Amino acid sequence: MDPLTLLPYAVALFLNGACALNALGLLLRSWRNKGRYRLLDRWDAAARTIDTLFWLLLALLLTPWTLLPVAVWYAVLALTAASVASAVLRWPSLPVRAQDRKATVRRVSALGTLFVLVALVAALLLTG
Amino acid sequence: MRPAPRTIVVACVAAVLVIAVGIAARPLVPSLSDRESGDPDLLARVRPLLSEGVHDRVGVVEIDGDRTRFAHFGADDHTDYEIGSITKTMTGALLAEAIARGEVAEDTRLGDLVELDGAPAADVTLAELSGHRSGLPRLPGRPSDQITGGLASALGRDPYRHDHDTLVAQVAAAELSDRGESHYSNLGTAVLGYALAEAAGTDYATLLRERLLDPLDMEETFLPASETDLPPDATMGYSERGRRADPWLAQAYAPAGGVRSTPADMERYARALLEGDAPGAEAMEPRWDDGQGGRIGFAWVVDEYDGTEVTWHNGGTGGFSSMIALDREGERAVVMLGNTTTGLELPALELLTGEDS
Repeated sequence: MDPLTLLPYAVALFLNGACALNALGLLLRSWRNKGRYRLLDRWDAAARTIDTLFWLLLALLLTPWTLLPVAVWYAVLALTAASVASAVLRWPSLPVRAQDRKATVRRVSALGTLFVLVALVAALLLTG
Repeated sequence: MRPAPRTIVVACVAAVLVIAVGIAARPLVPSLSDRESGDPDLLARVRPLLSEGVHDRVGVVEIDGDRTRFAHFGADDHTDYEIGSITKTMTGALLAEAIARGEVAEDTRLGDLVELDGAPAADVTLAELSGHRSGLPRLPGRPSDQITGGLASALGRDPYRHDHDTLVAQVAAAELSDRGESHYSNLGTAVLGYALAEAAGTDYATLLRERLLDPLDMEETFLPASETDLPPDATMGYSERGRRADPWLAQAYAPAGGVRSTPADMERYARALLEGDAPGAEAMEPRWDDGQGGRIGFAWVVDEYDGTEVTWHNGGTGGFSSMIALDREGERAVVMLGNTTTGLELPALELLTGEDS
């Protein structure tokens, strides 16, 4: 079999896998108060929520859905919705901004990804 | 700590919003329609040929001597499809017709008809453009064109929405490579159509209508220059990702792939080609090697399949596939049109030359 024929499957698995992992990560962090894998502040929650939505959009646009059951879309969609809801529930109990060294990085990351997400959605709406 | 009721409401609303938008934007993957019509024998032969890939609506025309058979899946004789690059054969016919009328010659230079200010492309001939031997690239080579075209294709948009000024600028900016060798060029065919229209003192759509479509009574064949030219029930195409694809409109690149047609009209075209009655039918005569073991005429490719000489051209747009294949000696032809990007070349060739043909 030509390895190139497997490429679309690899793309599909990568996109939806990345989307599911991002959503799962946000979901788990939203429920943890201690340890490394938790939301550090509201900027962290915002950055990870926007990341998750960004990957969901990429999965929708770039997955060759002729190769993958559409049920996969509904699965990652449900996971994303659950993770967004969890982040919202966690939001009030988070500090606005943590005082660790990476706080600025998280804020820039959140704003940067938000900018890309909004630009992509705007491009889709304007051209379509 | 238990979240406040208001926070719970906001979380539920956020989740519902994500799900609602996700459902509204869900992928719509088509499957071959089970609404079949047409000749039962042809339907039975076509069905297994469509078992692979993604199909939705498919129309099949089979001509055998005086007899024509149709087979449709989710469609009928008058369903419209983008025929994509089969349009190039019509542009080739217009070139042959223009030569017959004395408006141009095979070796007329592009620069004699289009203002190219001494660009390398000004020196190529109309015959070279039609036979894909001009050395022009497949697509415009300017980085801005490549970025916008690639992005449009990736998003299921029409990558060819350029006006004639832009087309001429793209051709003027193009470098020639391997001129005289066969390299498929949408850019070359697009500017060929523009040049032929200039030579005739009209536009491409009018030229095609007056010289090919009207003489063959192809009243259902048209070139939609904008969305408003499309009928309300125009057939929707699906991309290789299973997403709805924007229609490709017939603007400056119309001569390379902008025509919409129906099985009924394509039957008229194929029959006229077989009978030699089509204007510019001499475009089918093979003139040069295509570099892949076959021969090429004015856009038409001539290859041998299973001992049969087949004159053919395929087509593909963002959401449609098409194939026309002629066995001129056996007076047989097959046309296949579909509204997905799954290629129809092999099914059409199998119908034309296979054991069950």
